[in-house]
Amino acid sequence: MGIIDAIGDLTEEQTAIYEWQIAVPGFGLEGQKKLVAASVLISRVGGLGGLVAYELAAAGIGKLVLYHAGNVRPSDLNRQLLMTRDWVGKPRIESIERRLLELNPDLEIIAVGENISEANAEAAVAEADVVVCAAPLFSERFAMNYEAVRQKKPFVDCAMYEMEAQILNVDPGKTACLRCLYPEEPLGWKRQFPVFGAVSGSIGCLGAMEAIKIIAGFGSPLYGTMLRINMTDMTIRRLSVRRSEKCQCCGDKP
Amino acid sequence: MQITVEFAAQAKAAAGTQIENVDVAASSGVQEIAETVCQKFGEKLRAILMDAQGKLHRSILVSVNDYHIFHHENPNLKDGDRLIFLSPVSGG
Repeated sequence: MGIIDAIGDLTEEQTAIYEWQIAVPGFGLEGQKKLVAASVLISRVGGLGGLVAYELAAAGIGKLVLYHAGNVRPSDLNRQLLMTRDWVGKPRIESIERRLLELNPDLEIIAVGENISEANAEAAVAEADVVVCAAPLFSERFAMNYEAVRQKKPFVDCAMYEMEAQILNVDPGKTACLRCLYPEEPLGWKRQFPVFGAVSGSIGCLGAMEAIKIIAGFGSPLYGTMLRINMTDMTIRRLSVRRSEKCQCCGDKP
Repeated sequence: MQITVEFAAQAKAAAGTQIENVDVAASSGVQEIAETVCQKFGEKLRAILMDAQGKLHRSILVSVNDYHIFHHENPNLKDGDRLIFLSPVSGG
């Protein structure tokens, strides 16, 4: 069972566009209808979140809720594929919206030129069925995690550093949340860190796939398991993670 | 006994290596091994792994043989175990 009830029928055009994925066993026409009816919050929409958004737009997601502040900088362009060189100095969120609608004009977008914070997380999460975390600062990540847990929305956590990437899903109240793993923010974390666009993009594509599986209710989403990829030597490992009953966010005895 | 210690993300950058085989006393716990590798790899690693009281910092995710360990559990390890210190990473 997915988290969305399939409603309505696809148009002839939609059926033609999505026929390759409708043919995937376990997904099918029913899965596509669920996807068209679903909404996903992504923040931010840069090197990682931009690929989540692009793949979900291509796959026919109904609505994207996108948060990303600031103007395009030259240093965004090695990985943030929804930003273009002609848009340097202009709002990132406008470039994001424009590029996604070029790909899928049927897509409904709520585009907000802010980053997630404790002040806006509640409203942002309320707009979506699934939350994808792709933000660089832990204050943003913990604010999204908190609200996803509180509102019982599935949470897809994607992250990368240098040649490493990782992904983990949270089923609120049932599987480990971010605070179960990291009760405190890391020491000495900086917003800018070394990474290739191919690394952030790879994990973004996996994030989109996990969101699709959660929405459509097929396959085995990565609940309780962190998938870690080291692209230096292409080692892939699965780490079993546990929910903490003392967790300050989701614990029964915080 | 010998333990394989893996450092991930910022911890790897601070240690200057990804994987190291470390000789430790039999039945050493995670906290003791953390102290051992900090002594071996120096202050940059200590600044990532340890808090001001010399305990593993609460942001560090620990696993033994790919199984998540809570810090308070501080299990005794066995010869040949694989211990990972994973500092959190993010998007961007």
